[in-house]
Amino acid sequence: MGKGKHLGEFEQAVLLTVAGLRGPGTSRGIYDALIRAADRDVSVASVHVTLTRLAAKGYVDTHSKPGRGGNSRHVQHFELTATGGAALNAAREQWDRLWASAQSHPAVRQE
Amino acid sequence: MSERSPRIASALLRILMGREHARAILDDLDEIFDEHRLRRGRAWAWRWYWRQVVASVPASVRVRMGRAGAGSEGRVGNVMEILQAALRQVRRTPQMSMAIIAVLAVGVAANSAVLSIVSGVLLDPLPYEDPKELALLRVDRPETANHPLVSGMEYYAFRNADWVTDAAAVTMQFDMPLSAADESLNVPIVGVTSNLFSMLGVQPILGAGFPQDGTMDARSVLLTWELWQNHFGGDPDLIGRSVIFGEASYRILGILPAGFRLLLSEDTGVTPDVGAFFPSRVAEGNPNFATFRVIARLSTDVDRANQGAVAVGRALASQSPEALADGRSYRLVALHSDLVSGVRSGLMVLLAEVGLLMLVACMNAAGLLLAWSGGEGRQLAVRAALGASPARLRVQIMAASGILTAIAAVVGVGLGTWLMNTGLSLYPESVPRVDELTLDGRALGMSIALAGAVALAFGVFPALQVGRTNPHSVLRSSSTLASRPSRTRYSLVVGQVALSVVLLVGAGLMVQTTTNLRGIPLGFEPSGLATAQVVAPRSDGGFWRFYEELATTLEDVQGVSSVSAVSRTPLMEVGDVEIMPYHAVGDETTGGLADVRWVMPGYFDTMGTRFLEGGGFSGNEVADMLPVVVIDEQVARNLWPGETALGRELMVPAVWGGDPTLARVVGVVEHARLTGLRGPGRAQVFRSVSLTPFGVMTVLVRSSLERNEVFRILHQAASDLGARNVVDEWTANEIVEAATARTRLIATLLVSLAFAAVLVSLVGLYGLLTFLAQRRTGEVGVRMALGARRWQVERRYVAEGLQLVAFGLAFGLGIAWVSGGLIASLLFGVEAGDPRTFVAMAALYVAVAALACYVPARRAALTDPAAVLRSDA
Repeated sequence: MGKGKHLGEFEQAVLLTVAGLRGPGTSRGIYDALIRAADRDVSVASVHVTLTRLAAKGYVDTHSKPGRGGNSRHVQHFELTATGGAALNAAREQWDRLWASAQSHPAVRQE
Repeated sequence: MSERSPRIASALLRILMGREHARAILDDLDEIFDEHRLRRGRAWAWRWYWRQVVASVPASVRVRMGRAGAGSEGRVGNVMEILQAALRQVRRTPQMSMAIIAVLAVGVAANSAVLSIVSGVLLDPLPYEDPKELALLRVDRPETANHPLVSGMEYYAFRNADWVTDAAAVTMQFDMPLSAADESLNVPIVGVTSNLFSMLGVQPILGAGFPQDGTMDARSVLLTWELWQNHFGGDPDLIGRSVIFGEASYRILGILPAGFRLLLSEDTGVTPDVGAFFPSRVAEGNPNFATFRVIARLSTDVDRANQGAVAVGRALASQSPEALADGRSYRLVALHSDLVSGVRSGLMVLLAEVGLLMLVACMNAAGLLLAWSGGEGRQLAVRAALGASPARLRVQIMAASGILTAIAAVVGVGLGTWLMNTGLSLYPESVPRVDELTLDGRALGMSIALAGAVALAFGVFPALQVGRTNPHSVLRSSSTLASRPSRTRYSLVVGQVALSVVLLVGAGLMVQTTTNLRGIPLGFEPSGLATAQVVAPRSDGGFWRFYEELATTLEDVQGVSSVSAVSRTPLMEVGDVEIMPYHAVGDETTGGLADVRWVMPGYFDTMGTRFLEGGGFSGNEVADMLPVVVIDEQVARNLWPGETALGRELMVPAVWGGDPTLARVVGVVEHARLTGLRGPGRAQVFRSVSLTPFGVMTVLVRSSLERNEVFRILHQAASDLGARNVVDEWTANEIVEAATARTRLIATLLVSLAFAAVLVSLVGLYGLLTFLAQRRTGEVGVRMALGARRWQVERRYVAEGLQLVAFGLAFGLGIAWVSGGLIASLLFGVEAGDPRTFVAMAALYVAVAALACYVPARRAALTDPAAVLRSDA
């Protein structure tokens, strides 16, 4: 697996947030959902940069739509692609395998 | 949107993230900012916004490194590739790169060298335990301010003050012959109270210190590590053994750590080269003999201590009204600031001036970098058009600036070290602790950072252009040069001219100061005069005879014209000047204070001091009942203005103390500068040494002999007559030179700094005009085709250059005028705002600047109109 396909932790979090939205989301919406779920401070810029990168990898689809309230400003919307879903599934399997092997350790909470 | 978000923050974010990313991010940020502002208040929202911008830095790094771009083609590639590309870029423009490196290196070198000296001398704490608590006791007496010597009574009074933890006294320093192995050498020694070393927190590395229990072996000694190494070969068995100092044997108690020195300011007469310390007791009672330098460890700060000193002074005055109630007051001066007080103003001037040079260098480098970027712009556009990623090109050009700075830094370190070592070795005694000085890491870091900031700021200019300009437009334009020099480049040149003129004025003032010091009428003739302190053999009252015989013997030598002796070497006194009051007979209000010198017959002829009236001493003064004096013109003017002083009488202190006695004037001499060059000094009274023979005198020899030859025969004659020692051999010329050494050092440094700055600024001017001339080749060609003469073209360019110079001069002379106060304390015989210097330096600058303008002007005028018209212009 090349580095290009690997999902970093933050990328995974952003991608999961995109997946959790019902339908396409704006970077603003993704940012809000992410800080609610992750319970930590992240920068708008890093969310934006990560979304751009995920788009470049083909994990999210982007398309522009006119903004709310007849605002002439066009806003980017992001949506999970099939490849993105597959990448999330692959990452999850990887994590699951690691979790399974860690189950035997007494300090790890049992399922 | 009802309120604007922080504008600076959003501008910063735009710079960090680049235009295309920034737009989307700023939209989100502004939206969230508004919500926060309504919900949590304006201040909170502002803080949040700023935090967001700061938190964008990691994301911006990813963007800038190209990783956020579209896939692998946006990648920057590995570091080595970038560095190689950057190196190629540097090498493609060798002259420009060399110029940038040279200018930055000179700036880094000069700046870091001077910063190192300043921080080493002024800031580095003294190498003692808790050095901030140490202070030197000084006395302001009516006759001498800032005097470093006090009596035993005063020492104990301060030692017992409750705000003093401990206090040590140091006696006068003198040279003692040490008989070690087969050689005999003179070692500078001092006596110290036994608590000195424990108070300073200095432990002997071998043996023991002086006992602290009140017992004292007067025949014991502590040696410095250097003396132990150089003259005893570092023999560890030396402890407990005896050595012969002078004529007595002393037991070696211990060896002080390597590098230990007793650091006291120059006027205490204690030099850092003291090699042996003898234990000394301070006699408590006598308030009259002020021979001790007192170092105190304070338990409070200096200000509070000085309030305490007033009380101690009052107690002392009532305790010994006849000796100490003369209006004197005491001060404690932090030991470090006392040590550097003589050099501080000079160093501060130097620091300011080198800062100016650094600024000139930075401005010059900035101009060069801008010109460089103008040339590189096209190159980069070509590459961008060929498909290179803008991000990569940006990183590459930043790397190129970085490489230039790095090379400049390396060259600067080498040059700085060299500058510092040569500079200081020229004037080894010019600043205290000179041997401790090395190129300081922080100073170097600061200078390099400054150079790096300039290189980045101006080198990044082209980097930012990449990707912003349309490659097509750059490629379509026929010129390879930027359209016109920016206003920034003009102002950079004007700035360089201005600051170099400031340096030039400073240098001019210092040079005049040294010439003025050299031209002072000394009142004696230093050429051909040799001096040495000769210690007479121990014999009761036979001192006089010894010096008389020595003089007679020496005067018989071929080439020696006259020999005499005096109680103090001219211009060499340190602290213990002998001062006495004098007044008119029957009128105590007419009189004053005078320096006293005890002299042998022939003193005035040997010194070359002219008699205005009468003559010198005969040597038979003891036989005469009435003591006689020779006075200088100041005393004569004071007591008998407009009248002859010869044969008149005045009141002077009796030779052996007690009430003032009558003395008759046998001669009046011109005033000589015997205590310092910068001021006339006190009035002088000379008395015949036959009245009170001295065991140590400075022998003066006027001869036509070589330096070495004079001292050889002096040594020979002195030891033949049984002299115990001959020390401090100086020609009078050397003494005069030494008295002006520091001024000359500053003058030398300022002249070199000014030279460097002028050179750099001229290069800047030259570069700008060359640029202009190249750009206007077409225009010049057309003009000449239309009949303009060569000189007209030349004149036009020179005029343009001189216009910039005129601007710079106006600023520079203004700055020099306003900042004159800084240098004023270093000057002698010339005002800081001296109009003649200002005009002369401005004229000098205009002259060389005209030359720097003429060369590119001439080249422009050599343009072949036909060639230009044929080309596409």
